[in-house]
Amino acid sequence: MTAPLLAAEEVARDYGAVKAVDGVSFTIAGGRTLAVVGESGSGKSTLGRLVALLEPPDRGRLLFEDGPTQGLARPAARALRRQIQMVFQNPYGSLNPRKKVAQILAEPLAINTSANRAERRERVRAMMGLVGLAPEHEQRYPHMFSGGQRQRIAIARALMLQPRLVVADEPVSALDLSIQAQVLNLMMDLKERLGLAYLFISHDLAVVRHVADDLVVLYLGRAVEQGAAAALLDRPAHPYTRALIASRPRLGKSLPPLLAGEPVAGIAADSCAFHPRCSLAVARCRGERPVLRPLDARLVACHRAEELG
Amino acid sequence: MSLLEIRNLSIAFPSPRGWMPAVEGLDLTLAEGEVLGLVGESGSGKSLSVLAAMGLAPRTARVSADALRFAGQDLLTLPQAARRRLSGKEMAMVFQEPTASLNPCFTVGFQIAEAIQAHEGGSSGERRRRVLDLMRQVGLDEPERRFDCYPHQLSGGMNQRVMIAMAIACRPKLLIADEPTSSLDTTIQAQILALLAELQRRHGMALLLISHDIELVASIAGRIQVLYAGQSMEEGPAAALVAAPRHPYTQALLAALPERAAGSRLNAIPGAVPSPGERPTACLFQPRCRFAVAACRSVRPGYDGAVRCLTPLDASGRPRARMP
Amino acid sequence: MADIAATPDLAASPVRELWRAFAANRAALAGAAIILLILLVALAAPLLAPHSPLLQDRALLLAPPGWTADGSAAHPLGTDDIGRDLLSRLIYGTRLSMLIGFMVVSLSLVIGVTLGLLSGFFGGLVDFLVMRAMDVILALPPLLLAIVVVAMLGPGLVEAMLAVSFVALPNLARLTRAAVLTELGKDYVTASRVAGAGALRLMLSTVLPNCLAPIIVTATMGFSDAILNAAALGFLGLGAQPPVPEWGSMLADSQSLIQRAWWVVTFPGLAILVTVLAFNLMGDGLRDALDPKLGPPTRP
Repeated sequence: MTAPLLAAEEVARDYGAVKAVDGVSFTIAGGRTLAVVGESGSGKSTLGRLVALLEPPDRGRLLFEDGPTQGLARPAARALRRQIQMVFQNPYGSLNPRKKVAQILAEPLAINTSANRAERRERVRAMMGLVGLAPEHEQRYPHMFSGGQRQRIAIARALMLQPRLVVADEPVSALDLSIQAQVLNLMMDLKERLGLAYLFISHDLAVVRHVADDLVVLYLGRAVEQGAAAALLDRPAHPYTRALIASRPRLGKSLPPLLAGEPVAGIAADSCAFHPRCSLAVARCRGERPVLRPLDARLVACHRAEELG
Repeated sequence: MSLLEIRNLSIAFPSPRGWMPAVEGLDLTLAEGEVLGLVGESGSGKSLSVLAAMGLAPRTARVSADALRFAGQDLLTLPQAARRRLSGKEMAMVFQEPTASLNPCFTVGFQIAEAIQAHEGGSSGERRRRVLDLMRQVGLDEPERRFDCYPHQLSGGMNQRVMIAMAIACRPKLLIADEPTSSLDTTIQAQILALLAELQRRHGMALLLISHDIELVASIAGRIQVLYAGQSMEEGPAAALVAAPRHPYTQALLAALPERAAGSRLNAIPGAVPSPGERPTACLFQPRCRFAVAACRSVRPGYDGAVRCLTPLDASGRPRARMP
Repeated sequence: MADIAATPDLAASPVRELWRAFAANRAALAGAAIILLILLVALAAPLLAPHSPLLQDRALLLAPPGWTADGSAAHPLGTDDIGRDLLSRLIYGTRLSMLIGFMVVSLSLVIGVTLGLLSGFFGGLVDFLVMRAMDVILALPPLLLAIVVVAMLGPGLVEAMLAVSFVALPNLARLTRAAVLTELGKDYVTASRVAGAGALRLMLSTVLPNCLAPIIVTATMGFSDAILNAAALGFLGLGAQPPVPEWGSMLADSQSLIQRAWWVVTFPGLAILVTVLAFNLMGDGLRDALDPKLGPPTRP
C-alpha cells in the first residue's frame, strides 16, 4: 500500500494559552479531497497554515509522502515547498495590487525554476487558458477583474508549480452563488486533469458535501468526527455535527432547530470541548475527554455517540 | 395601506464616462407586519435601494423616485429633521458587521440607552431598566454584567443581538436587516434568524430582510423579491417562488445551489453580472439566460408586478409560449 | 466555461489613474508647475543669469531693484552689500536648493526606508533597536539636533545636508515600518511566501511597492522641509558658507540691511516661500490622489 500523500499525526499549534489546534490526525491520499469543517475558533484556518508549511506544529508531526516536513535541508525544503500550494479566501486581498497578472503568475516560476522569460510567459498563458481566463488579459492589474476571475487567478498561481496538494482556505466563501458554482466546477475539473489533492477548508456544508471525499469536523481545535464525507453527512454521529447540519436553512423547511450558546474557549484538557452546549452532556463528559473511536465507518469523539441512534 | 411604498426608484453614480446606473426602476411594497426578503447577488442594488429609501445613500448618488412613502408620509418631500426623526424611531436598521457597526469606545449598554434617549427620553434609571429588558428580549444572558461590556469583549453573535436591541428599542414599525447573519457562524446564524422571526412576530413589526442567501430568506420570509443588476426581476410568495420560479434568473440561482447539483458538476450560470457601465439596454440577464430568444436582445421587458421577462417560466420550469 | 472579459472601464494602470486624480486638483498642478519651472531655471542657470553670482560690482553696492528710481537695468532685482547681482544669485540659488532637497530626500529615503523595512519585517530585536534609535532622534528638536550634527562635522553645505538628512530619518523609518506591518498581514504576502519567496524578495518586490503611497507623500513634503532646514542652518551661518549663493545664507548675511535695503532680504525670502509652498501643494495633491486610488476598489 502506498504511503498517503499527506499524513498528520496529532498535530497541535498553540497561540499563547490558546490551543488553536489540539491534536488532530488525518491522512490525505493523492487525488482525493479532504474537507475540514468548523466555525470560528475551530482551528481550521490554523490547520490549513500548518499543512501549507507556513507555521510549524508545536506538537505532533506532518509527513509528506512518508517523509518529514520540518528540519529539512535547503534543497529538500525547496522541493517540498513546490509540492504544497495554497488558495486563499479573499479574492480582493490575495493578489498583489501593484503587479500585473503576468507577473503574479510568473513569480513562482521565477523563484523556483530556471525557466527563462519566454518559457515563463508561455507557461503563464497556458495556465490562464486552463483556468478559463483570456490570455490577453495578462497585462491587466487585479483590480480590473471580478471576484470570480480573481479566484481563478489565485488558483492558477497555486498551480504554476504543479503541486500535488493544494490547501484551499474557504476558496469560494466570498463569491456570489452563481460564481461559486463556476469556480467549484473549475477546481473539480483541475483535480481530475492534474491529479490534485485538496485540503478544502470551509464552513459551508452544502459545498463540502459536493466536493469532499473525506471530512474532518473541528470544534475548538479538536476533531469531533471524521471519515468518508458522504456517510458522515448522511448519518452524523456527533451531536455537534448534527447541530451543524441542522442549523443550515433549507428550502421548503421553516426555521432550523437551534443549537444554543456559543463556543466556550479554554475548556479543560480533560473535558469534552462541546459539553457546555450539548443537550446530551452528562458528568462523564465534563470529567473525561472523549477520544476518536471507530463507529459506523467513521471516527467520532463522543461518549454517548451510540445513544443518538 | 402599505407601510413602505417605493415606486420607480433609480439611483445613479457619476463617473468619468457619465452617470452609471446602480438601480433602475425599482418598485417595492411592504405591508404592515409583513416579512419581505430581498434577494440578490453583488451589484444587484439590494442594499443601496434600501439605504436610499432611508435617506442614507452616498452623497454623490443621484436618487430619483416617483414615490417613496412610509406610513403614508412622503419621504421625498419631508424636511431633513422630520426624516431623521422617522428613521430611527419608526424605521430601524441592522447591518452586516455587528462589531464594526458599534462604537468601540462605549459600552454596549450605553449605546442601547443612547438609542432610547435619542427618540424617547425618560430618566436614566428608567432607561437602564428598559435596556436590561431589551437585552433579555434579544437573548443576551447576564444582562447586568454585559451592560458594561465593550463591543470587542463580546462575540459577533452577541454584538448582533446588541444591534438588534438598539434597533427595536423604540418599537419601530419596520426593521430592515441587511445581511444580518452573513458574517456569523452557521449555528449562530440560526439563532439570530430565529430571534428576528420571534421579535417580528411578537411586536408585529414589518421585516425587510436583505440577503444573497435565498435559502436563508426563504425560511422566514412571506414574500421574496429577486433583484439582478439593479432591477427587480421577480417577486411573489416565498414558497411558490422557490418551488416554481417564474424568472430564468431565479431558476438558475436555485439550480446553482450545491444541493441541486445533478452529478459531479454544479449548475453554474455562465458569465458574470454586468458592471454598471456594461449593462445591456435590453434584458439584463439575456447574455446568461438559457432561454433567451432574439427579442430578448432588443426589447427590455417591463415589470408587471410579478416578473420581468418576455417569456416567463411556467410551473414546469420552461418558458410559456410567446409574450402578448 | 465562458467568461465575460475584464471590465474595460478600469483599463488604466495605477499610474495613469494617479495622474488623473492628481491633475484634477488645480492647486497641486500649480505646485507641480512651479517646481518644474524652478527645475528648469536651475538647469539653465548659466543661460538665464545676467551676471555671475560671484561677480562684485563695486560701483553699485546695494543698488535698488531695476524698476525703482535709483535702480539700474543691469540689475533687475538690485545688488547686495558687496555689489553682487541679486537676480543672478537667486537663479544660481535654485541649483543649490534643488540639490539640497534632492540629496537630503534621497539620503533619508534610502536609509529611512531600509530601516523601516528591516524593522517591520524582522521585528524582535532589530525592530526594538532601530525604533529606539529613531525615538532618540525624535526626542530632540530637529533644528537643534541639526545644529549639533553640523557643530560636530564643521560648517558647510555638505555637512548641512548630512545633518538635515539625519534629522529626517525617523519620520520615514516609522512610516515605512507602519506601512510594512499593515501589508504583512495581507494574503498576497502569504501567497508569495507559499510560492517560496525569500526575505529579500518579499521586502523589495512584494511589500515595498505597496507601501509607496505614504512614502511618496512624505518624501515630497520632505523636499520643502529640507530646503527650509538648510536655509535655517545657512541663516545661522552653519550651512553654506559665503560666497555660495544659497538662499538661507543670503538671508543671514542681509539681516542688518532690512531697513536700508529691503530687497536683499525680501527676494531670497520670497524664493524660499514660493518653493516650499509649491512642494507642499504638490505633496498635498499627491496625498489626496494616492489615498483612495492606489488601494483596492471597494465592492459594490
